[in-house]
Amino acid sequence: MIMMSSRGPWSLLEDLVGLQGDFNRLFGDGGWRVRAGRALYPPLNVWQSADGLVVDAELPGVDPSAVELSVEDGRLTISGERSNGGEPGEGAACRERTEGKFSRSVELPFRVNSDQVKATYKLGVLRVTLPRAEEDKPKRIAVQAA
Amino acid sequence: MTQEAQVLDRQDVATEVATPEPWLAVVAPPVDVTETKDAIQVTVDLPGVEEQALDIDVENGVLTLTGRARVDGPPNGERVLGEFDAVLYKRALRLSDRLSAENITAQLKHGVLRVSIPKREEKKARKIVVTPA
Repeated sequence: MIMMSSRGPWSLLEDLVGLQGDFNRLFGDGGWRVRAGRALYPPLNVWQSADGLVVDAELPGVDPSAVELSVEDGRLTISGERSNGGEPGEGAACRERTEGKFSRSVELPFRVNSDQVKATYKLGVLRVTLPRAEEDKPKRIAVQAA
Repeated sequence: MTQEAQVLDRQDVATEVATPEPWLAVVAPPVDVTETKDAIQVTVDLPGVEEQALDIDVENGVLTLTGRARVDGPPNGERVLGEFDAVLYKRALRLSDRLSAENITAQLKHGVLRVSIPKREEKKARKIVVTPA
């Protein structure tokens, strides 16, 4: 939502694209419906390959060391808290950025070596790489000629 | 928001559809606007946007932010869940003439852009001393 006040920063700034943005978020192209609901935060992308799973979470401005990752009972859980700061004595005209505690889980389609799970943080996107456990990988069995 | 601003808004977005990558969805990123004694701070979530893919312009008193977000999957990976995509982030803010457009500073870190727009120094009331004749 765009919040307006007659005084404060919005009297110095006028938002030109905000309304269109809200429209996009509500009715926009496929996939963006997720953004309208705050329940699913952070948004995720998941890629699967023979080697494992890669999970990206869109978490801009989050201290990566404060994000908790766990692999338990066949699921990955990403949780933490996002705080947008704000200094005392600072007036706020508009706060659209998501703030607060979050947690999301992904059901893992195979077993992973939890000690080989890696996480990186770049451009506000957290990437968790979960290698598939070697003993769980499908094995090709060669038929031997008698 | 005034009626005038809404009209500007639609025109603004309509013209921006003619980007080099017209298939990209144009999305207005969420913004926090805060005010300190000396400046207006605009904080914008721009995940996936590299510095080179970000443009900040001020023209005719309008500050325009345009950022191209990338989404790169691992090689050989098949996307099984997709909740965010490569998009063109775009937001425009009209600056009051009480702000100094010449001294805007911006910093992009961890997918968050912080723009600081200093206020113009208020003209101080001058006391005129009458000198005796």
